[in-house]
Amino acid sequence: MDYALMAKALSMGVAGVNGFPVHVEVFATGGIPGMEIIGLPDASVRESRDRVSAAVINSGRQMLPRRITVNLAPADMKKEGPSFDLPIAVGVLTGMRELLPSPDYDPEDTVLFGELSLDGQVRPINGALPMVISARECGYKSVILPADNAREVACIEGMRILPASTLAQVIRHIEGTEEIVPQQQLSYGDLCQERIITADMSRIRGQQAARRALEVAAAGGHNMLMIGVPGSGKTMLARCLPGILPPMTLEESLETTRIHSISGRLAPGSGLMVIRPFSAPHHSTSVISLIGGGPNAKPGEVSLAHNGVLFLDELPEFSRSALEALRQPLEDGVVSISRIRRQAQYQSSFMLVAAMNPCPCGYFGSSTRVCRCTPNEIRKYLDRISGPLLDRIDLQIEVDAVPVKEINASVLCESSAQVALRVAAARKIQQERYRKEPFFCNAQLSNDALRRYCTMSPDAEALLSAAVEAMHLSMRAYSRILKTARTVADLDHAEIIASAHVAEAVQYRELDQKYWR
Amino acid sequence: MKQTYETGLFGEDTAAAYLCEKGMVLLAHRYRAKPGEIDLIMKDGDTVVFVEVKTRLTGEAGWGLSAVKTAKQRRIARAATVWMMQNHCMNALIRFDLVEVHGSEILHIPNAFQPYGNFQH
Repeated sequence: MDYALMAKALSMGVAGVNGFPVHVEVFATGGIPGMEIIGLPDASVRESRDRVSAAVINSGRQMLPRRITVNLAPADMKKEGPSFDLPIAVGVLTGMRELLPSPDYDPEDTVLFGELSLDGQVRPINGALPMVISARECGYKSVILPADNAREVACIEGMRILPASTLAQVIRHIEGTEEIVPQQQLSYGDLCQERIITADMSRIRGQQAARRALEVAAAGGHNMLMIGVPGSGKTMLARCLPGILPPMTLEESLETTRIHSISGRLAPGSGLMVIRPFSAPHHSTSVISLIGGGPNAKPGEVSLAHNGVLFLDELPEFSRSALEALRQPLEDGVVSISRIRRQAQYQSSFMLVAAMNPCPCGYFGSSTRVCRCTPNEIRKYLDRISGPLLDRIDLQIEVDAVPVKEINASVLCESSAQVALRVAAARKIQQERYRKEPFFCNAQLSNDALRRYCTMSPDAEALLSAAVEAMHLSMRAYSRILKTARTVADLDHAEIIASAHVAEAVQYRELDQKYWR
Repeated sequence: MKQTYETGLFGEDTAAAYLCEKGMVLLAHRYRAKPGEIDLIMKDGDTVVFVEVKTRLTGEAGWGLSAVKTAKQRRIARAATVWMMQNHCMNALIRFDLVEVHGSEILHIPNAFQPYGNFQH
């Protein structure tokens, strides 16, 4: 009369941006029927028993009256999210002997994850990419996952990826009656071919100076600040940046897609990200949402912008604490988030692009309208941006409204594709030059590297020292100008920085002289 | 009151006869334990079945079953535990069935409830 059976299934959990193996152990006995899930599950994991029993019945199997204990080992790691539905269902079915695995199926080597809907469909989950990457690192060979997550992980080599859209399909696969067709491997290069750029620079009329500054910023990975009257096109310019930045390498894309995957920002069925992310949080954003945090130490906007652009529109409207919190990620390219329950490190190497009005009314220094702010108001407004933050922004430009005759001019400006070619060439020069260094673009040059890599012609040197003297620039401003000049020279394919390059770079530094003195 | 008692007894006898006809074996009738009572304890193959019988003389069939609410389910489950302890079969395969006797009509729902909610302890 006594009855006791064991079954196992393998799954993955997520902590930070890394996955860890979770062994789903199922023990089915007689006694008062019911199911209990143990092993530090959160509410969404505990709910899984209701989804599982409904999904099992709707997949044409029976939910037998058994006393079932499901253990998610290791029991000291928190398990979150609905991704354990599928392994629990498979474990429970095997434990009840409603599912008899074929000898070809190895429960110790096949990773399963996916959310179940009540009717037995397998729904997509967050964090598929980090789970599959970690599964490969652990040496597992195959993975059964939701069909909508298959493209996301299709670039990973050396894994048999089996996309499932229903629980019934998974059951048939494990029984060996009908194998799931493995997902075809996609090469990252093929994915890049499909990239579509939404904001194109050809749609920007006039703004020659700003266009150039955007190109320099993209070429050297410099941070950038745009000051201008309302409606002058600052936001539009910034939105064009991802289109002219060089495409992400596979490694960069994996890093960025991982973060987006665990944050649930990927659309179902999408593959690896090929366009650099453009993150534009509203100015009411909190420090936590910007940097990351919360009880589960979730990534913030700076990490979502990793390898891409963080755009802060209306910079002075951001809370002081939010802006100051940006300093560390700007410097280190990584944020460490520590909470009582969870510690996590997220990469956050992004280009900061900020836009702001020059004064509260918006028209200070405009050529078309009169500003009605008092000097004191302007001062207070500008002082919301601290010196240390301003110091980390290499390029500062003024964007004025475009005259009507330029708006109506029918000449099309250069497209993003053309600009991107020049940017890519300049980036290539930098990669070549810094191949032995820990950094890869001009914006990341350290002070002693600056001396090694930024050789100036004599007249360029004379011009720079004259500028420093005339504008009372600090040593830090000096090195910023030098970095920018390096990028301008790279765009020109010049190894030695000439005076014209320095002259342009000095120009991008003039604004803090005009506004912040 | 006498009337209700007899109605109940009639229903349970009808249900027992019906289930025996289906191949089950009667183990106990009106089992009483401290936490509650169980109308019928049957054996279906190697599974012990605890049966709650509801008898209705009026209305439509099916409504009698809805009278077995969570508290009642728990009482039945506790009594079942006591029975299993007395009979030394704590790990036996068990099941909770509901039977509604509605005149000559009999409604049998095998595995009608999981005593602590739907698959919950």
